[in-house]
Amino acid sequence: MTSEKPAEQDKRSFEEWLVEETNTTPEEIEQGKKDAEETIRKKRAEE
Amino acid sequence: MSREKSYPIVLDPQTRIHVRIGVTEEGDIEWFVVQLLHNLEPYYADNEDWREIARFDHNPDALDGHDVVEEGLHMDLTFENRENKRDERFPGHHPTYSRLGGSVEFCVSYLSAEYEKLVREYENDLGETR
Repeated sequence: MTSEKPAEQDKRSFEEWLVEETNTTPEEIEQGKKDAEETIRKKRAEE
Repeated sequence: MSREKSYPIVLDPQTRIHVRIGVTEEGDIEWFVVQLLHNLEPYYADNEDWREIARFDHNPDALDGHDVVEEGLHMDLTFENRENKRDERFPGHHPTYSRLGGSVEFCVSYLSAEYEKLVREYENDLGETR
């Protein structure tokens, strides 16, 4: 397995970076975040 | 043809998420890799030893690359000592080629919320083989 050293932190938030660097809309980001929250909630309920 | 862009997210001094995406001139995401990385060395040490613990990826054009639209989104747990690597599937999220940014956000949100558990599991796994 190779070791990997990440680059320095961007001054923009991740979501700002994603919207500015790609065609991603704030609505898509909200949906992705909601899906993740719901997934985590379900997984934790099952544990 | 896409250009690679990357964004590191610091979760704690020893743990980071590293996002890499391939973006076309039009701003479409062609491929992505979202990794959870953990530094095995203490934060105050001169040396760093970053290891990949978990990975989400989408790259249909690559040899053996995943296509999350066809296969569904899943996370590979890439613990180095595991003989049988396992993955976790996420049927609650439905990626599409035109909305892959939402899938990248899903990966980052999921890893941000669950990283402590994944690091513990990784460290336990590592301890068992030492």
